Amino acid sequence: MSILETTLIFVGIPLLIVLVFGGLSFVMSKYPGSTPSDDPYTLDRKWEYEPLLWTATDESTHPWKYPHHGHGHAALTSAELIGGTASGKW
Amino acid sequence: MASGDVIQRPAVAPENLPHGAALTASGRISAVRGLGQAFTGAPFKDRDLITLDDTLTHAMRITNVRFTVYIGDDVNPAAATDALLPTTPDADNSVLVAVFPNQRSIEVRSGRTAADRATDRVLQLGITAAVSSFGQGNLLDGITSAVRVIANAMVAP
Repeated sequence: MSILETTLIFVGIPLLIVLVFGGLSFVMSKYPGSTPSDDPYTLDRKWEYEPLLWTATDESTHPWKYPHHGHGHAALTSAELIGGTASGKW
Repeated sequence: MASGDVIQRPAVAPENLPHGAALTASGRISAVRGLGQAFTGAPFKDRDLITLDDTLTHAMRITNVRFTVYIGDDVNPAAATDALLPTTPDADNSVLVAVFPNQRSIEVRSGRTAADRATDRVLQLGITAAVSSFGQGNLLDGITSAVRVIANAMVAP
């Protein structure tokens, strides 16, 4: 193997690979897209998103007994169900 | 029933999920977002969401009452919250914190079973805590402190 051949294989090919990937990464977009925390919501903006409902998942309010369904609680109207009320404005 | 069975029924049937979405064992929906597509959900920082999740879990463990948080838009916040409470999980034994940013209004309701500890006065403490954060523009901070204050006041009134 001549000196030229050795240089081409062990220097030329790695250099070529580095240049191809480096060039592509310069041309292509740097990020996959916007992320939610790029522009976090603050209250001086209008709320224009879908309604959200959050609660703790995998938690039971009755840890001492098995949770079960079919109590018939769904038949209660909101007037019967509400125990405490408070409201405020800012 | 084996101890590891999932007993909740998911809100969306698995066959109706959009392309690239999957239902996880906890009932949460995990969905993909294509390369270059914009994020369309509500923009909150991961850190704030994790804090809220930890607060909800902790509040539930110390009180054995379910805490639910709602953010929405309605012309009549009080009536909307009254109508929402029966549709939430464990409504009878729960505290619902509903915030309406466009109406600059916060409503808190407690279910019948929880009402002996989550009294009107305790709920009003939570609103006071939330409104001070809302004045600075922080939505999730305010909700988190409301939940924290209500839960602590229920444990040690």
